[in-house]
Amino acid sequence: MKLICTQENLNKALNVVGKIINKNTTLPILNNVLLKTDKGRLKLSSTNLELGINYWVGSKIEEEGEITVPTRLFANFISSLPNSNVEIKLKEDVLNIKCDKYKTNIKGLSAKEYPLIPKIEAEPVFKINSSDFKQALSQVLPAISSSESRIEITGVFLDLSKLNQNKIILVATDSYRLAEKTLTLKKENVNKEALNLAGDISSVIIPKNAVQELIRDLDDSENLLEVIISENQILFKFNNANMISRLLEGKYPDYKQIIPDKFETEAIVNVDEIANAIRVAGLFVNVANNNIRLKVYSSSNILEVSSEASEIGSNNTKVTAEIKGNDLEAMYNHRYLSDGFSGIDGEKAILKINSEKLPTVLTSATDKDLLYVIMPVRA
Amino acid sequence: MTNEQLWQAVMGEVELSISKASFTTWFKDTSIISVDQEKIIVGVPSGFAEEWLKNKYHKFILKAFQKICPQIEKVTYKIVGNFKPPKNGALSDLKQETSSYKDFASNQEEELPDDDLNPRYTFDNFVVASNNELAHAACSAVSKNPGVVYNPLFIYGGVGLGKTHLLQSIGNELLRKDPKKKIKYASSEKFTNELISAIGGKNTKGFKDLYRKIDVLIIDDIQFLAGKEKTQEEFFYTFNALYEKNKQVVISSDRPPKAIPALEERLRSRFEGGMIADIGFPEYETRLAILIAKIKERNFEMPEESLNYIALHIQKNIRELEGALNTIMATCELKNDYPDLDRTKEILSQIISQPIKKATTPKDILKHTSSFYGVALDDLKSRSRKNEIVKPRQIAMYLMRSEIKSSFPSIGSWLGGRDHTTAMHAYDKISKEIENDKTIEQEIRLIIEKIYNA
Repeated sequence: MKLICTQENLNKALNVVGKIINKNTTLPILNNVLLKTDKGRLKLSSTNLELGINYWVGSKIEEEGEITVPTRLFANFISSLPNSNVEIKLKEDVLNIKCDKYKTNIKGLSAKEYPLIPKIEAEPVFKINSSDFKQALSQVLPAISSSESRIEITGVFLDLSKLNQNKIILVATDSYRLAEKTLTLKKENVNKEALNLAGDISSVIIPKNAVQELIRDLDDSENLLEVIISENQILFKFNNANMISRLLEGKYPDYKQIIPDKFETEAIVNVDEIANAIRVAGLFVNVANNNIRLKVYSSSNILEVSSEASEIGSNNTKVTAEIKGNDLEAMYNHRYLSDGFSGIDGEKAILKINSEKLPTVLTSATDKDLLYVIMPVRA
Repeated sequence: MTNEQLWQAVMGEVELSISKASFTTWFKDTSIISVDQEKIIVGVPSGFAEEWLKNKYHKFILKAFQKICPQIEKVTYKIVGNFKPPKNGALSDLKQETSSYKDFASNQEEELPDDDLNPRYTFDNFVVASNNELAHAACSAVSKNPGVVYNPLFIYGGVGLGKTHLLQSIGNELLRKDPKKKIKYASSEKFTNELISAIGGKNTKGFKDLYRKIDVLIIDDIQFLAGKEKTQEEFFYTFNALYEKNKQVVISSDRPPKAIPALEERLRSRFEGGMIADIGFPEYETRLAILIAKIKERNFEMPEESLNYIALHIQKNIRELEGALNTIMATCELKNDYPDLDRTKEILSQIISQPIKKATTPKDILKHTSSFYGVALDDLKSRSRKNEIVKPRQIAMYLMRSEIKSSFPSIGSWLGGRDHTTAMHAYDKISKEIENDKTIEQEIRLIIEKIYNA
């Protein structure tokens, strides 16, 4: 193997493939990254056997070949190099790297033992702007459960049943709160036939670590992300990379039933104002429960955020709001409320409350695509 | 040969030719899905395993198959899991299965914590007597009305007197009435360990949730929290959280809250804010009643004189009493003997002939007295006349006189070269106080127990 590429591109590639966290200790080679010449480019691959990423770097290939080297060492080394051309040469199992004034040898392990990253031979089910998908994932991410006891909610539910209306729905819940984001696709980006080919899959559950990895790797561009689905795996193709992940098994709960369609009271509030009030109230919560109280006064159009902890002190903030409906009060976990407001796009949010026994719904006043449902705490 | 046996045989063959790490990584959770004459489909857990077996180990696998069943020509691989992709329209099926709102809401409560109760301990098999009637009454009141009367309930008494029995009885009684009640019984050691592992696993929130969502918290042997500040702090928060919600807390210890050294003041005051009940040593009648209850429970026959003998000779500890009885029952059952008085004497001779009181030394007495009251040994010997030191010092003097019959001058010299009249005064003073003050008596009893059990 002999090739030349730029430090900048190589570093970018390692920022993507080098971040996979390896939990498997029985196979030490998983701590390595695979370098392989592939059709005129250098392919870098890394995997933890749940998730695999390939990233192609444009290079001048002079001799084909493949090797694996320790990921962290290689990434740390490359990131410290000046922005210049990097010459890589493989001699037996030692990688010679030359860049500017640096000359380095890194001992590698044969690529023969490196796991093969699976492929899915299918057409994309849909394509979407990188930035839109990234934003949607970031909005639902906080609600993903981390509880090992219910595997099926430790990922993002991707509902494809409305694909014929050019819509996909992303859902996450930890059973205390739930975030649902609807994305509308361009008609030409939906491949209805591919969906049929994929075996009538109407929904999949993407594991949390794949979601986090995607959020990290996708850029805020208009570039199209291609999503390819098979029965057990999902493949994302973007820029120079593709990422494949296993899907989670199990049935996602039928969450739609829990979202009430009628509300006693609706309050329109300024997002920044209430988010700050919640943050302040969060300083005065009881360590044991994290609860803060929202009180709605319809006559005076005021929403009161308050909290009290016997050992610390108490706080209450009055936020002006447009209120329709009855006076109400309910308690919430302040973190869940903050997470909800942090995902809201736009200046105003609508808070729809019933009683403390039914879920509360939070949406943006302008963008109805994101729905955040939160269960009040019963006092 | 079943598919499973076939696959075991094949894996056994393959295992020889590849490394252990590779084998465990790639053959974990694999199986044969179907065998159709010459075609075999192997199920694998992931796309990675599929690729690897297909591309790297296919030859080994095929060869191994052919060794066992020569007719096999083709092996293919398929990813399997429990996962069945929901088909279009499957959401309506889901609806029937999960009434989701309930699902959502009921998830608010995590699974029931493991209660760790031993069903063997109930109020029914607890022998009530004058030494424990207050504690028993308090516990049974708590089990009828948890969180309302006597919260927190603090039970203390020496080892083997039935604290754990009473505590567990509360839990079992409550569970009997309402199996859905969330009851947590834990020794303070278990509480500490769970906290430590929660901190280690970065899951303190889970720990908090677990302990704060329960209806009745029972902590045994709280004195072991002494000196563990972080655990005390966590326990304090848990205690407050439960107390605020009117959840019952029951605590046991081998001594009253005041006498637990290195216990934070705020915890102490909280323990003292509820009901405190003690369990004392059982009298002869009680011991006999316990023995009778025990042999009834075990359906064993024993003459009354033998029981009398046991009750008379084992005085300080119910656990030992039970142990002696068990030894007799076991020996008799084994040898098919009848435990008359002579036989009982013979069997118990090993237990009883051991001197009930081990010899002790002035040094031990000083050591245990100072650690019981949480004062430094040197302070006892110093000239300090602070109240909190004077009392332990006088008690040490008393014990040296009453337990090992030291002479007054030697007691004086052990405690920093004091005059023999000081020692005499201390002995007289404490002797009088014991008659008037139950707490002092209790404390001295506990120190003596510590000295002889050490």
